[in-house]
Amino acid sequence: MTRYKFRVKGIDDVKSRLGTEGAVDVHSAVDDEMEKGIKRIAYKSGMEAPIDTGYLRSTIIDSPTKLDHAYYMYGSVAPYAQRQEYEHKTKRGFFRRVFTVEGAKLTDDIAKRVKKTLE
Amino acid sequence: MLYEISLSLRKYLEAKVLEITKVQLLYDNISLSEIPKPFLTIDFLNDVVTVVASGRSSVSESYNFQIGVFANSYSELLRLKAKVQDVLASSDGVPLYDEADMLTGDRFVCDVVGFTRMPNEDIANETNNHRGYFDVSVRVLRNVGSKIFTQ
Repeated sequence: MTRYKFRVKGIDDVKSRLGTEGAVDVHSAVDDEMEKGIKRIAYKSGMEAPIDTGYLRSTIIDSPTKLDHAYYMYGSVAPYAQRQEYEHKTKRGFFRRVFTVEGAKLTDDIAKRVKKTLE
Repeated sequence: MLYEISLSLRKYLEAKVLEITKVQLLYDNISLSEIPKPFLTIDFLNDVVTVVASGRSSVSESYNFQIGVFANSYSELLRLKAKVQDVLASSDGVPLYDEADMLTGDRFVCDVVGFTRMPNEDIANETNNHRGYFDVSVRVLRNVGSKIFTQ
């Protein structure tokens, strides 16, 4: 199955130039922003998903899980999710369409938040 | 650019992957059951346009496609998957055609994100046996109104 990875580079570099206190602030700021972003992406993916019983939508919206610091996962446990994502007549690509648009916004949000934290 | 990139991808795959009978661009209400296998499909998903310079003169565009591989057998699917992946990920790039179907001399490269095999749930539908999809994106940076781009 295809997995899209969204990586934020350069955070370690920024942290190494800060003192301990500053590094802790940036650390939690990135995690906050990441959590917000992934929840937003999951919600939008869910709203774009095709609906029959509503199960697919609810599994996506409820899916964001924290695996590690600034490391989140979302998706669907519905067995037909993959088929719908690739082959639904009108709504295929509901994961990828949202991810490609919102992923860029998330990068901006993280950059802005780090900047604000350092001010 | 979407028309040019779709056309170029179709022509490039037809020229490089000789095993296939056709590369079909997907549109509304198309039926795939009449196309002899093996064949490929190109389906445009979405594009993301970001303004990257002040004055709104320069934009970064990302075109996302899913490329379907439909094969006669499982082994053929695996062989075709490997071939199509190598052809698409080639660092030489895809020759770009213009709207008049002429070669422009430019080439663009594609990012192949991954391949997903799709099981067939309906045994009566043989077209859907042995199929899978590539996620492919093409990112270009260009000035608004110009067909000249960088990547």
